[in-house]
Amino acid sequence: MIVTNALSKTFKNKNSAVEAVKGVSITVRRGEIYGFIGPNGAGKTTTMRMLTTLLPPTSGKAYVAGCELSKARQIRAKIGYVSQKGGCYEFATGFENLVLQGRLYGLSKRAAVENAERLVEAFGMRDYCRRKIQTYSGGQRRHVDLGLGVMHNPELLFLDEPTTGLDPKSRAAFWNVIRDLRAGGITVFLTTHYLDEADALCDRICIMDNGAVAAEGTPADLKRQIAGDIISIGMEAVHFERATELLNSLSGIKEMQMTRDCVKLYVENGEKALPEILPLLVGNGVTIRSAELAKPSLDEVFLKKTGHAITNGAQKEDFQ
Amino acid sequence: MKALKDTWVLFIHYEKMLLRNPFWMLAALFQPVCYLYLFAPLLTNITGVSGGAGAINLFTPGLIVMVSLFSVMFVGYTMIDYLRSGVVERLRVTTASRVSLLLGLVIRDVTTLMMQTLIVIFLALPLGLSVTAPGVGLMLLMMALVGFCISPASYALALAVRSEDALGPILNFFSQPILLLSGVLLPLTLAPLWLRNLSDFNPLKYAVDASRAIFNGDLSSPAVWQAFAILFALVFLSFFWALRRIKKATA
Repeated sequence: MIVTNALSKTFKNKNSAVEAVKGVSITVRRGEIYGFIGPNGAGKTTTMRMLTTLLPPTSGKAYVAGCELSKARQIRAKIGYVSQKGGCYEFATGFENLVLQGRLYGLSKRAAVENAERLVEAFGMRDYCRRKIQTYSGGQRRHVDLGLGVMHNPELLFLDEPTTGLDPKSRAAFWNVIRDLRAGGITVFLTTHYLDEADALCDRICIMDNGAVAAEGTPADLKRQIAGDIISIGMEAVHFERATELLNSLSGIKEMQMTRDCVKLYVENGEKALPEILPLLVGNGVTIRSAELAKPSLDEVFLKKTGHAITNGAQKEDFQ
Repeated sequence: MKALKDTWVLFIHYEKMLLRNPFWMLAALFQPVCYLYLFAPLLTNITGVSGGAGAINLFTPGLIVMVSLFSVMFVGYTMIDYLRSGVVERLRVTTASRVSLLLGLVIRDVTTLMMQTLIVIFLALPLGLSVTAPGVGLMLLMMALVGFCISPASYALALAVRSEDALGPILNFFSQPILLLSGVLLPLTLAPLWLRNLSDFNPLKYAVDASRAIFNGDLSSPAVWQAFAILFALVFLSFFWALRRIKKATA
């Protein structure tokens, strides 16, 4: 559904150039929910804006819904796009916004009203669709925004950070609507910086960092690459050297990482390793503040692949 | 064809949203009522201005031009709002004609302006305004041209500067001298020569002169065809600029 080859975008200023996207090559298959994850400034939105015909790439190639990027007109007829801002007319009702959108895609008035009715039913917008947008809650707005994106029954739907700013309940409701859309045959391409969202919703994900692809695969595959469990032991940095020395004598530890006040151990079997590790450290004079055992999540995958946590953006100097 | 249909669909949409706002009607009426009932009576005693019914016939055309200038000059704010709230970006990804986003708004503005023209004429009738039906028709036509000239320029400027903070001062910078040098409040016949010469460069002055001729019943006055010629040229320029801007902003 989407194929890109070394897609790049450089923003030029008077005296500087910023490489926002550096040679991204990805493939999105028909009928899947594909997630672009990464911190703010990773190049997610820029890539999406290129794929939705809003921004011409500096170099590289891409095919969207079977058309080359230069064929913007043909692509626009086949895709739907919901930006972070949405872009409803505030002083019109949700229903009016939907019908207008359909009309602008060339639907007859009757077809547009029918589609809007169908979406009101499918997205549960009956209670509020006749009120003006300015009175809506964040979740209600997002449902209308999503409706605008699918009024013309596109093959491919782009969602830019669809659930940013929503409360957990609205997010869960929104995920269900997206899953329903996919079940109806729409391919979904979304960006998010919520790793739990990517894990729960996406069939495949692409981790973006600093304008490049850091990893691509199903959430399960990526987590399996971490292989095993993570033990985090909190301690003062002065103890790092001694602790490393002691831990190196143990078998079963695949990798060690130091953060500011914590040693992270990647082990095969956490339940078995923890009772061995703690007495070894404590018995040899290392003061432990805390100990935690975790099954790998996408947060761990992200940390492993990019060398920093997603919340810290590209500020790698915060970590060892 | 798609552009025409999209323009119509958007025009109806914008018009519906406008008419739904009750404050709009109030705001549209307040300025002309103030000027007609609180300012026009002062004119009757000024020397150099013919008294009685003549004063209102002299004043109303200028008032119409002033009301329309204020109503249509600041429409660019809408475009900045649409840029900011993502409306423009959303429409860019649809197959809607880019040009119709602009035209739908411009036609709405011109419709508003013509309604205001009729309202001012209607309000001035009890004060002794005398005008013929062809005069009203010609006046409406000319005001439509004024609208088609200013409204696209306002949107083009908005698309160029992209911020209210810049748009407001720029519009004020131009609107004050244009207004004062057009002779809307007092006729420029009262002005010293240098001021009159300066006002020759103000396109709006020709519209005001023409509208005074129309209200005098002098429909074939040279002032009328001069104003139409100048306005036609400006409409052309204004559309040229605005269409280029909107195409650039929504390519």
